[in-house]
Amino acid sequence: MTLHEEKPLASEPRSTRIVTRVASLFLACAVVLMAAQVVLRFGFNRPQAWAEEVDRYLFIWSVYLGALVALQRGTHIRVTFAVDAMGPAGAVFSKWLTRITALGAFAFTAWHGYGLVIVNLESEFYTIPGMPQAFFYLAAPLGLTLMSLALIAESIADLMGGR
Amino acid sequence: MAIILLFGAFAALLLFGVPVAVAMLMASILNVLYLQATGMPLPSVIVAERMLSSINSFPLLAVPFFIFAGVIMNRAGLTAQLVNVSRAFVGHFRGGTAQCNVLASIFFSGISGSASADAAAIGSMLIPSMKREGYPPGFAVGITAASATIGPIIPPSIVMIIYGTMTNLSIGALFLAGVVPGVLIGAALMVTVALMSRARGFPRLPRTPWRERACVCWRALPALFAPLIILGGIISGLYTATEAGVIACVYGLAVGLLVYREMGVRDLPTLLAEAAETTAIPVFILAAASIFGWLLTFHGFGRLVVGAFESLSLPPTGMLLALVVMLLVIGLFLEGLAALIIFVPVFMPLIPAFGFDPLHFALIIIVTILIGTVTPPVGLQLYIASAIGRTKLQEVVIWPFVFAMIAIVFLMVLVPGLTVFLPRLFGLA
Repeated sequence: MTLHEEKPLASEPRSTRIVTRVASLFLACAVVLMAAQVVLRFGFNRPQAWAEEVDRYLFIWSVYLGALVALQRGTHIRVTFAVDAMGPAGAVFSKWLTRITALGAFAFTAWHGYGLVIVNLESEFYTIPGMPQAFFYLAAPLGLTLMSLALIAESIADLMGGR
Repeated sequence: MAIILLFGAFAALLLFGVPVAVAMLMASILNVLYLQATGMPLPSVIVAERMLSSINSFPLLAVPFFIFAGVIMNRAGLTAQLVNVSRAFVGHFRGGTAQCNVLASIFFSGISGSASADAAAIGSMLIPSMKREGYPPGFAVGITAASATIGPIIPPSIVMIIYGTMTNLSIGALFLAGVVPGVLIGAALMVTVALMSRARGFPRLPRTPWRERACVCWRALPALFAPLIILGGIISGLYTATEAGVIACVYGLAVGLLVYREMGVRDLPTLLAEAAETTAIPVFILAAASIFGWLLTFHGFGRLVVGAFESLSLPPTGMLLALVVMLLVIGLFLEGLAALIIFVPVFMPLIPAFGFDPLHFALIIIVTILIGTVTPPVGLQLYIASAIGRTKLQEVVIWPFVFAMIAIVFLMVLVPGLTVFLPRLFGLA
C-alpha cells in the first residue's frame, strides 16, 4: 500500500503546486464559510441557507482537485504486496496497468459527466437564483479530465525517458 | 454472473497494484457495459451521476473539517503535549513507552478522526524512542499500528461520518457509541503490553513526581480540553458534527497561534494542502465505490447475503459473531474504507431481518473493519507504522494485539449496552 508521502510541496512540479494551491483555496473557503455560518447562527440567529449549498460544492471541487494532486504525487491507496513479490517487471506492469485503467475509467466518466453538465445547463443553485448549477456538475468531469491529461503527460514523459 | 464479473475485475485490478478507487471505478464501468451488452437499459451516465451525488452531502463536510483540525492540532504541538501527559502517568510501568504509545493514542483520538493520522503522529514520535530504549522494532511498530485503530473509534471519527452519511444514522450517536469500545480496546492493548513486557523484560522510565505530572497536565490542558469542545457541543445539540469540525479547526488555530505559538499563519498553506490531499483520498474512494455499491444493490447482492445468513439458522448473537468472522476475513485482503463502503449497504438488510439495534450493529462493523486495517497482508495502518519504523512487515508483532481487539469485539457483541448505553443516556438513540 502506498502511504501519504511526506515529500515537501516545494519539490513537486509546478503543475502539482498550482493544483494543490487551488484545492487548498477551495478547502479554505469552505472552512471560512462554515465558520461564518456558525457565527451567524449562534451570534445573530441568522443562518444563511446558501452557505450550506455553496460549502458542499466547494468541498466537491476540493475533493476532485485533491484527487488530482494525490494522483500526481502517487498517494492514492493501493495494495502492492503482490506487485512487490513480482520484482521490477511487476512494478512496470503495475504502473502501465494503472495508467491505462485510470485513463479509461476517468475519460469514460468525464465524457458522461459533461453530458450531465449540458443537461443541467439551465439549472440554478437551489438557494441562489441565477447561479448556474453547472458549477457543481462540472467538478467531476473537469477534475477527471485534468487527471486524464496528467496521466497522458506522465506516460509521454516516461516513454521519452524524461522521468 | 454479473456479480462475479464485478468482484473479479475489482480483485484482479487491486492485486496488480491499481489504486482502490480506480479499480472500483473501472470494475463498475465494465459491469455497466456488460449489462448494456446483455440488453439491460442502463444509462452510462449513472457512473458520473453517482460519482457526484454520493459526495454531495452536508454531513460529509465534517470529513475535511476534522482532517484539517487534526493537521492543525498536530502542527500546533498538541500531540507532543499528549505524549508528555501519557509518559508522566504510565512511563514508570513495565514497558512504559509502549504503554505511553497506547494512552497517547487514546488521548489523540479525541482530537483526530483518522487512524492513519494517529499512526503517523504518534508513531513518528514514539517508535524512534522505543527503538532507542531497546524495544524490538517489530514490537514498536505493532503497538503503534494497533493503538492507531482507536483513533476512529473514539470521536471524532472520519469512518463514522462516512458510515452515518451512508446509512442516515446520527453521527453524534455514532460518536458517543464509540467512546466505551474505544477505551476498552485501549485497556485491552495496555493489558497485552503489560503481559508481553513482563515476559520480555521491557524497560521502565523513572516515575514522574505528582508535582511534575500536574505541570505537564496544565501545559496539555488545551489539548485535553479539545475533545470536550467537539463532543460537548454535539451531545448538547448545540451544533452538528459538521459545525463541530469547523469549531475544532478554529480552536486548533487559536491554540497553535496564541497559546503554544509553535505555528504561524505562514504554515497555513502547507496545512491546507495536506488536509485537501488527505481528504481527497478517502472521499474519492467513497465516490468511486458508490457506483460499485449501487451495482451490488442492483444485482440483489444484499438479498443473497441475507439469505445466506438466514440459512445458518443461528440466534441473533451467533449471527453477529458470524458477521464479525466474515469481516475479519475480508479485512485480511481488502482495504478498510473500501470494505466499509462495499459491505455496509450489503449488510443493512440484516438489521430489520434479525432485529439488531442499528447503533450496536454499526459499531461492531466499524470496529471489526478497523481491526482489518492492521492485519496482513493488506493493512494500511501496519504499512504506515512499518514505514515510519523502517521495519520489514514480516518482523512486525501484531497478532497478540489483534486477538486482544477481537476479544473486545466479541464482548461488544455479547453486551450491546457497551455501545448503546451512552447514546441512550444523552437521548441520541
